[in-house]
Amino acid sequence: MTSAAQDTGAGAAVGPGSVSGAPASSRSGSTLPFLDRLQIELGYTYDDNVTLGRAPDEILWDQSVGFNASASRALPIDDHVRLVVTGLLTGQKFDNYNGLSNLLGGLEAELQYRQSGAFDAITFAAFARGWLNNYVSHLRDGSQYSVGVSARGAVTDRIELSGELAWNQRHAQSDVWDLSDWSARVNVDYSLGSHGTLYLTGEYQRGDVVSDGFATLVNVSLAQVFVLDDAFPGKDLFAYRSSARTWLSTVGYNLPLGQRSSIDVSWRRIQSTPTAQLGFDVQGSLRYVDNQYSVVWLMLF
Amino acid sequence: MMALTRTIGWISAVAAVLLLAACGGGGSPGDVHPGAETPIVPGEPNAFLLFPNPQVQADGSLQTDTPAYAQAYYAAIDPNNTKDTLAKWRAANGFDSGTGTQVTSVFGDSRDLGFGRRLTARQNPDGTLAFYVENYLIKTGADYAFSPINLEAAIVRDPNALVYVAGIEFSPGPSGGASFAKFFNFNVETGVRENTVDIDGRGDKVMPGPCIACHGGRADALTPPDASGNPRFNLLLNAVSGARGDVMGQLPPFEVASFQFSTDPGYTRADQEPLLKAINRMVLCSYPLPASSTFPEDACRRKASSGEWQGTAAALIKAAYGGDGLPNPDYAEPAAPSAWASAGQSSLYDAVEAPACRGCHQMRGTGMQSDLDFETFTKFQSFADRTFATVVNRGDMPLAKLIYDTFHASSGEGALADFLVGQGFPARGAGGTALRPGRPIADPGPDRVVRQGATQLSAANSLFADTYSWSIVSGPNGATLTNANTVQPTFNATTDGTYVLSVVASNASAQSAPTSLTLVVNNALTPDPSAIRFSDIKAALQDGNECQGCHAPGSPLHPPVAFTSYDRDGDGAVTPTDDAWFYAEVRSRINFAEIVASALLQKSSGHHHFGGLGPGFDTSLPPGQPGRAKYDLFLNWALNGAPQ
Repeated sequence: MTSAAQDTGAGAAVGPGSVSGAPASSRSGSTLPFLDRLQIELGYTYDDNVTLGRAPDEILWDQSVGFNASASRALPIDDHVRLVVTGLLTGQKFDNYNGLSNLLGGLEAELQYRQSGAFDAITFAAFARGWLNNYVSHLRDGSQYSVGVSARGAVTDRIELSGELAWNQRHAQSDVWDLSDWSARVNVDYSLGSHGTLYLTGEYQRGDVVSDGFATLVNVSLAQVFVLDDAFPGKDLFAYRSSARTWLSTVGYNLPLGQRSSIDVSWRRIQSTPTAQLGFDVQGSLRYVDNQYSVVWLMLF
Repeated sequence: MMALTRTIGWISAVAAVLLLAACGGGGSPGDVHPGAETPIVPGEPNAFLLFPNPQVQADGSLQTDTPAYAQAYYAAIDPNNTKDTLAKWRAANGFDSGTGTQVTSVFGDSRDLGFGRRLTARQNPDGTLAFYVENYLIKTGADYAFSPINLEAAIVRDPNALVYVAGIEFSPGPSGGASFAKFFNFNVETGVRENTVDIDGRGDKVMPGPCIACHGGRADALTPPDASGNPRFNLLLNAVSGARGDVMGQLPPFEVASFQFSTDPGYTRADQEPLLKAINRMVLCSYPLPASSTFPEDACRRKASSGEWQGTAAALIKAAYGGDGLPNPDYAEPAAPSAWASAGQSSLYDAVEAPACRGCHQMRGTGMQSDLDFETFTKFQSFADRTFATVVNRGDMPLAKLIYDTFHASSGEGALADFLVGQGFPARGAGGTALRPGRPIADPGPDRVVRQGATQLSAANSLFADTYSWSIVSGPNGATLTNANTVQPTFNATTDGTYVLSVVASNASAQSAPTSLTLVVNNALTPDPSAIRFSDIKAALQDGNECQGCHAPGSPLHPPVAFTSYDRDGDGAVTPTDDAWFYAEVRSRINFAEIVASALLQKSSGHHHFGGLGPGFDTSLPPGQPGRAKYDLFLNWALNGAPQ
């Protein structure tokens, strides 16, 4: 995934949710029957490049509000292995470009293995996620899935480290959003005790990205497929799919507001560089940069 | 056990969701995949950039579109392969030598072919000219159409968008003589000269056909092989160069008003105008001059021969730059010529002739017969029958797909339909809609005279059809029609008389109007149509001086072909090889794709022929009448495949 606003990528988080730095205390226990965990997130995001545009006149900003609900149930298989099934529902409402507004629903199954209950024992997991996507821009409607492996463990009593390797694929009404990519993600949580958690996430993706731009030689040359984007009416912007190397980095801070809620603020920076070699000189850079600033209120039930 | 069952249940649910998630897609109608080739829709016209007479051979192949045609052409103009790569061709023509005049211009060919074009032109100190153009196109799977992106690609010289490099050289032939235009195509990656070119995304076509079809060239059949066994390119008697390979092709004016330009500095219209004017001056130098001129731009032009094109397009260049002397710095689309305006047909000129016909037709015609140049409304009007056939029925005009599409989407289509209706041609359908090519049209061939007995008929010249239904409408009793639902039924009559037949042609979605065929059965007809051979045709052509009086070598009228028997191959004697060459030249004038349009029949019956109507060719008479006996002879020979 390269733009949360456009959801141009295939996998991982949607909307303002999936906050990494949620306090450890909020990760277990539920007051609801049949569920081990129900988390609701309400958030606001400002995105300075929802088009993932390259040239200045192709870059549009927007802001959105969103929610993210996830409900989990852990099913023990033996002393070391359990299956965690999570239902996901997320939505975003954009302010300027309503075509980007969306409602996504899906399921995740994660098979976890932990050798022992020791503090420094690592939890290994294999996971599969699937979503069904519905956008106001119907070109984006479709589905997506991810499969991968992950590992998570405490390094010290303050530092928790996790990593994930995933294959992500997406299908949509338009071939432009038929995407696939590999991603590798590393996350560090640094606990400040009762003052919250700082977290830092770095992710590298290699695969397809979608950008919006005008019908210029550079964009068409980069494009594997393009379509007039119905999310930006009157802008004459074409969404196009290209192959790229993408770096995503997130810095965030999670402040607990009690046992079952917290506030999370984060800055996510996405930098994507097309891998295609053009046969001519291009003025300026082919690189795309997007910044997303989010504030999310998390509640755990 | 309970836990395991629950786990399996959850896994099944998740798997179901994942399966759903893997579904979907398939593409939206608006998706564009760059690099995709232009789709060719079955049943729609697809004879673009081919000559109306492509020289159909007995095996059905189109000789002008066979490798042998290109091989013979290049063997004629470059027998030692000294210009078989772009690098060698450039060197031979003095590019980047620091001498002469060399100009490069970049523009968008938005009207004709849709390319972004980077044109380099040069005029050498000896007066020879050479032009090569890099053609850039971003393929999107749609019909070839101009896009500003193509122009961008030409500016930055995007190698991935370079589709072909064409060269035209105006220079003497291998044995010297007057300069003439020669057409080349070079591979964009290797630079090697190629025998084919794909100009419009509708597949390769053989050189030089796609170029010269619009550049005023001719598509005569190849002549008998040389000593090495390879067919030779035709030698046209009206070519001033006297060179085999001189197809009488010309250099068209660069119609700047139809181009698009970039807004990038250096590539704006203002930047390109002086360059294109310099190039148009060079082009003008290649045009023969029909009458003396004292204007400096004409000083480089040689005197025109009456048998060749008269430099007709010079009028457009001059008018676009303000007249003689070319006083204006910038090109401006001229108003309709006076010969059109005085006929009250300026709007027809602006809507039809200028955008859809002029580009190619102004390169045609000779000093002896120039109707085809459409320089006047009268000339245009004289071709109304062929315009109806080619534009409304056949769809092989306008010649280029982009112009064809533009024309049918423009007001020109309606204007032409109105004109044709006014000339008596049913160019509008029942609801008043302008008819377009693609509907089935039955063509049983021309009315004719035959003998009693079996006569094979053919509707193979029908258009956009695959099923046929024949019937006998009237005539003496006893005639039969077998295989009446095939393309080639057999008519059998045992009684002399006039029979009228009808055929309806259909395809999966439509049915044609019935088309009549009149057969005059005369059992005394001599020779029997099936027995007509070239010797009969030759005898008719050489009967008195009606044909060969003008069509002879050395004739001051300079016809393109001679109908006398002479030493065509120059070996010092008139031999069977000369006769085979003669046969090839005459057969070349039969259009087997549309028999009635054959030059052999059209010219002799007085259509666009300097010599007018020949005795025995009066088609206003019914078949079988003595006044059209020669026409009937030629027609029956052609209908029988023109056997040697």
